[in-house]
Amino acid sequence: MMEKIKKKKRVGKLSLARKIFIACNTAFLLLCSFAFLAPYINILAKSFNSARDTMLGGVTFFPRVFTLDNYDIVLKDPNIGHSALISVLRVVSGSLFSLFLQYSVAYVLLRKGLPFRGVIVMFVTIPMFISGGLISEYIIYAKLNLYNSFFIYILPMSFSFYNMVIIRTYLQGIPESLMESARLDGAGEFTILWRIMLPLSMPIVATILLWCAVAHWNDWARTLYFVDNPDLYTLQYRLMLAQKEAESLQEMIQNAMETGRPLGTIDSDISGESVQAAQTIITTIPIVLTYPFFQRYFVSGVTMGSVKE
Amino acid sequence: MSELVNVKMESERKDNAQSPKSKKLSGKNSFKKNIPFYLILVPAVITVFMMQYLPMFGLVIAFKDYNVRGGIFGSPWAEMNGFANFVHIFKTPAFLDAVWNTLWLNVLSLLFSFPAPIILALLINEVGHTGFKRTVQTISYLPHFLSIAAVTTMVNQLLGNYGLLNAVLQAVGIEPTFLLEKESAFVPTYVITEIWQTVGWGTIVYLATITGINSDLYEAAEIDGANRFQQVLNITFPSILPTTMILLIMKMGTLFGSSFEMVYGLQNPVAWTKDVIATAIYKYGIGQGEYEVSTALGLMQGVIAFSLTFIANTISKKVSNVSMW
Repeated sequence: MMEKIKKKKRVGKLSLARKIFIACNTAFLLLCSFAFLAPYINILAKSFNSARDTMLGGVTFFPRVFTLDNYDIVLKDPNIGHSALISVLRVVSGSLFSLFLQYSVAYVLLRKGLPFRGVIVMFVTIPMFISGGLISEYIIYAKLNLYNSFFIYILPMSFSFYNMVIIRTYLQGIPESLMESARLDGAGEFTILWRIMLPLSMPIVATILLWCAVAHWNDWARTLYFVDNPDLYTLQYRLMLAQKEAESLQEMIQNAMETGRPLGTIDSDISGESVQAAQTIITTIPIVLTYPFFQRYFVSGVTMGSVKE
Repeated sequence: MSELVNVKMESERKDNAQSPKSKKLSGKNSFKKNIPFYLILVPAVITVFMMQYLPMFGLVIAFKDYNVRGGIFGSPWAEMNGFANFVHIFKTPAFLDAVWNTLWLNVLSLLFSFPAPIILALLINEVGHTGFKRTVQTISYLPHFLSIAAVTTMVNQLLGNYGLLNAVLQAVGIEPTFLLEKESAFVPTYVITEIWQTVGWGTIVYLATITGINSDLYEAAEIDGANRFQQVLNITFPSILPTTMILLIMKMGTLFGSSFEMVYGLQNPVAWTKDVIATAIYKYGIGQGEYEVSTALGLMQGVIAFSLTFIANTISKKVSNVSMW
C-alpha cells in the first residue's frame, strides 16, 4: 500500500516530456495487447463465418456471413466427442497421479533424520540432469507395453522435481508441533498425512493440480510419439492432425497446379479453414475462458523460486 | 531449472542448520519406526525408476549397432569403438543441417526473444493505473496458456491464402503474398511466433524483481535531481541484472536445445521443411527407425547443452558473482 501511495505521489507533478512518454507508452501497450489477442479474435471470427465465404479471404475480426454450421460440423463429429472424453480423463487422472507422487515424496523428505534421506534426494534429483531422450524412451516404453496405452499419458513425467520442491517448501511452513502432537496421540503416519497435512496444504495442492491439468490439456506431442490408436487421440492432437492434413492437401493442390493436372475433387475439400477454426476454438476455449481467474496460481509459481533476495 | 536447484539448496542448508536438534529427535527413530515413510515412497520410486531411469540405460544404444532381436543390451557394439553413430552424424547432411538450424534459431531467439520481456516489463512498470496494468498483463499471458497446436494453427491461418495478413496487405494496396510457400519466411515466422508466445509470461520475473526494489532508492534519486530515465538506468537496471544473468545462463544451456513442438507444428510439406535436432530425431528415429544415430544425436545435444550451461555459469560466477549453483 505504502509503495503505491509513494508511486502516485511521484506521478503527481508531470513534466511535458513525462506526459508524452505516458501517452506513447499507453498507446504502445494497447497495441501490444491487441497483437496478443488479434490472432485469436481472427480465428473466432472465422469460426462463426460461413466456410464458403472464408475462402474468399479478408475475414478480419467480425464474421461476414454469420453461421453456426462450423461448430455443428465439429460437435457432431463423433471423433471429437470421444477425444474430448479422452482429454478430460487424461487431465483428471494424470493430474491426480502427479500430485500423489510429488506430494508423497515431499512429505517423506520433510522428515529429518530419516535413514537414507540423502539417497532419496539424489534419486529424484538425477533425472533432472540426465534424460534418456526420445528414442530410448520410445523403445523402453514400448517394452513396458505403454505404447498405445492410456497409461502413456499418466506415467511418464508424472514426477516433477520442481513441483515436489515447491510442495515441500510449503509443507515446511506447517508447524511441526502439529505432527508431533498427533503422533503422541497415537496417530499413524498415514492418518497424519491424510487428516492433518493434506487439509492444511490445500492451497498448494490446488496450485499443483492446476499446473498439471493445464500441461496435460495442452500436450499433444506424447500422442504423436507414443500413440497411433485413434481411440486414444486427445483434442489437441486432433487439432494438430487437422492442421497437418490441411497442409498435405495444400501440397497436393500445389503439385497438381505445377504438373498441370486437373484438380478434380481436391479443391472442394479445402473449405475446412472455418471448420478448423471452430475446432481450434473448441479445443482452447476451456483455457481461454478460465485463465484470467487461475493465472495468479501460475504467476506465483514463476516468482516462487526465481526472485532472489 | 536453476531456481529449483537454489530452492532446494537453501532448504537443504536450513535442514543442516537444524540438524543438531533434529539429530537428537531422530536418534529415537529406528528404521522400523520409519517404515510407513518408505511405504509412502514406494509408488514414486517405482514410477521414477521405470519412467526416467530405464530410458537412461537406453542411452547405450547410441554406442551400439541396434537390432530388434538383440534389443538394447544384446545388440553388438558399433564400429570405431562404439563411436560410429557419432561419426555418422557428421557425415549426414540432414543431421548437420538440423544442428545448424538449431543453433541459428537459438541465436536469433537469444537476440530477440530474450530481451523482449525485459523491455515489455520496463514499459508495463511505467504504467500508473493499476487496472490498466493488470489488464495488459493478463492479456499478455494468453499466448502462454495456448497449446502449440492451437498457436501453429493460428499462424497457418494468419499467413494462409485467405488469411488476415493478406487481408491487411490488400487493404493497404499491396500484392498478397503467400509466406507459407516461401522457404525464407520460416525463420522470421518462428522468431515472431516465439516472441508472441513467451514475451508476456517472461515479464513476470522481471516485474516481480522490479516491485521488490526499495522505493526509497527512487526517492533519494529524485531528491538528487535524477529524472525518470536516469532512475531506470541507474536503479531499475542494476536491480534486475542478477535475475537477467540467471535467465541468461539458463538460456545459454538451451542454445543447443530445440523446441520440438513449435518447429514440428510450423513445418509444412510445401516449403517449410527445415528440421531442428528434436524434429530430426523424431523424423529419422521414430519415423524411419534409425534408432542408434538419433539417440547419438540426442545424447550429443544433451551433453553439449549441459556443458554450455556449466561454462556460462562459471563465467558468470567469475564476472558478476551470480551463479545457478
